[in-house]
Amino acid sequence: MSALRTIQCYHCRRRFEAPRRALSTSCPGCSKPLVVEDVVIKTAHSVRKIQTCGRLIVQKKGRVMAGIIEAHAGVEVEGILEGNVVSGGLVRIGPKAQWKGDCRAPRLAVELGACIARGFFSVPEDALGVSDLAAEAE
Amino acid sequence: MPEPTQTTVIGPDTKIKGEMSFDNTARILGQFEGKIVAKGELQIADTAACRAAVEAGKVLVDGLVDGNITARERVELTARAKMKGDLVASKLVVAEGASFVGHVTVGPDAKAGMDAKPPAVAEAKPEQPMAARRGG
Repeated sequence: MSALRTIQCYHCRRRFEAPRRALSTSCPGCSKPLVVEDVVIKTAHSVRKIQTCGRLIVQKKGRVMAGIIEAHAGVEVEGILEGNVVSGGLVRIGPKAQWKGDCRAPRLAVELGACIARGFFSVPEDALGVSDLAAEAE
Repeated sequence: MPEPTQTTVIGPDTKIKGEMSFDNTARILGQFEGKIVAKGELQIADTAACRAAVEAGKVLVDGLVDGNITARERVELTARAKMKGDLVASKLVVAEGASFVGHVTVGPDAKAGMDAKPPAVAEAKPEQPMAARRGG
């Protein structure tokens, strides 16, 4: 596996390579800081925006309420998620997950038992203006 | 002893326009346009193309659907499924690889909304509500 991976700036959409083990970096295009690591939600979080070039993982007891959720490498929900999701990878809604909001992603998997209160889903969608980053990385 | 379930099959070389209703299981391999009301299970095979509003107990989608689906029990989209339309169901399973564009309401509460609002024939939907909202 290469030590580098392609990531995309969530501010200016520029794509560049960054070390696979990096937790954060800055965009060579717009110089803004970027979160590259996975964001793991274990408890209740209410924020305006969650943005990462990694994955968003909402664990069983996690609850996230956000206006915009952008997780380029994918989203995994086992708990509660309220917000509009844009992802460049797989969005997996687990069997006990509760989802409220829109979803734009290239791949979606919903497991039996998941509860979706409302939302507009667009799958596949060139959600980030680029191809499936997660699939490319694999 | 329970009676064996009867399956109605719409063959791959069949094109139907109109309204169809059945009590048991139906499997569509061809093309259908209109409305389907089913008490039992509706299977839409990978060779099928349905431009229809569907109301059924269970719906299994393996092919192409353009229209709203309302299921009392369960909707399953396989990896080869391509669906465009709104979906209301008590339970939903989407396999990775399925293509889907539309509004989703899934859960025990979805049934209440389902009883109040019968499905309409598919219409063109705005595809970027979120982008519009984000753009201001």
